[in-house]
Amino acid sequence: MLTFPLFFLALLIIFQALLAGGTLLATGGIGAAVILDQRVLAGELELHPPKMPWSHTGLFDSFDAASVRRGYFVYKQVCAACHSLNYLAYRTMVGAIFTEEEAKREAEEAVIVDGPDDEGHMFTRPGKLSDIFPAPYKNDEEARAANAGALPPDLSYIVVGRHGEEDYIFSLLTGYVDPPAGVNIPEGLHYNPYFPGGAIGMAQALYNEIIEYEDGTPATQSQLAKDVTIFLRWAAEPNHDLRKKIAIKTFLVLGFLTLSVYYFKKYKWSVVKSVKTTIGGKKL
Amino acid sequence: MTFVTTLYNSVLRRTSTFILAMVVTAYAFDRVVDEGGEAIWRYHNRGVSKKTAKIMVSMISQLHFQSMSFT
Repeated sequence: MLTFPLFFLALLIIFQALLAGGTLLATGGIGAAVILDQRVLAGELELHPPKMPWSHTGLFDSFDAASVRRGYFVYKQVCAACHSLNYLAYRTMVGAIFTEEEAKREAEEAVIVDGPDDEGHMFTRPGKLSDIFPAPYKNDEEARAANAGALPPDLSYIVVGRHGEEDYIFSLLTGYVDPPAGVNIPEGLHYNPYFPGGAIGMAQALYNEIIEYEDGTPATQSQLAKDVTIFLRWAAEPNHDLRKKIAIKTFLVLGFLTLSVYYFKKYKWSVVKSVKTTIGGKKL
Repeated sequence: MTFVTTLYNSVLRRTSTFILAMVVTAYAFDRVVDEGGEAIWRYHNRGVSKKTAKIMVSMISQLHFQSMSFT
C-alpha cells in the first residue's frame, strides 16, 4: 500500500533534479557564450563606442518624438544624398512624427519612378503616402561608382544591424579625427577610429549649423548626430512605442493573473494540505 | 449577510446573471487595463511622448509664423 506514495515521491525528486540540472546547464552555457564573445571582441583593434543614455532605452520609455522629427530632416538633407532607406514608407511617418498633411507634403517633394505606362515607358511622378523612400542611386553598382568603390549601406535597419547600435552610429558620426602617426589612409578614404579597420569611405557629414531646425534647436554636430541616430532607430523599429505600451498592459494583466492563480492554488490545496491520512493506525 | 453572500445569492447562483456578470466584469476590466496602461505610459513619458511633442511643435511653428508676419 505504501508503494504508490513512495513512487510518486521518487518521480517528484527525479523531476526536480532534472529541472535543476537543466537550469544549471543553461546558465553554464550562457556564461560560456558571454565569456567567449568578450574574448573575441578583445582581440580586435577597434575603438568601442561608450554607452550613452538614450532617452528611449528604458523598459517603458517612448521615443523623443520631437527628436525623431528633427532627425528626419537631418536624414533628408544630409544622409539621403548617398544612403537609401528602402524599407520605410512615407505612410509610416503619419501619426508618429508627422500629421497626415505634413507627411503627404513630404512625400510629394520626392520624385518617384513609376510605370510602365501604356507604351511601356517608365515615368516619374510626385510621391504618395504609400511610396517607399526613393533611393539616391538606381543600383548598387551606380552607388559604388559614385562613391569611389564604397557602397553606402541602406539605413533602414542600420541601427539594429551594427554592434553598439545607437552608440556606434553616434560615435561614428561624431568621431572623425586626423589619423594618428603611422596610420596610412588610402586616397579617397577617411579615418574614423570607431569604424572596424579605421578607414571608412564616408567623409565626415555632420558639422555645426549645416541645417536649420524648424523648432529652433541649436544644430550642433552632436545634436544632429543624436537626432539622426534616434530617427534611424525609429526607422528600424517604427512599432517601438506600441510595443512598450503593450508591455505595460501585459504586466498589468499578468500581475492580476498571478494574484488570482496564487489565490486559486491556495484555495484548492487547502483541502489537500489539511488532510491527515492514516494507514493501519500509523500516521503517514 | 455579508457582501459576498449577497453577491452569491443575487448574481452568481443563476446562470443567466452569472454570464451577464462575466461579460460586464470583462468589459470593465478591459477598460481599466487599457486606460490605466495609457495613463501610466503618458505619465512615464510626459514631455517626450507623441501627444505633448505634437502640441509643442505646433505651438513653436505658430510662434514662428507670427514672428515672420511681424517682420
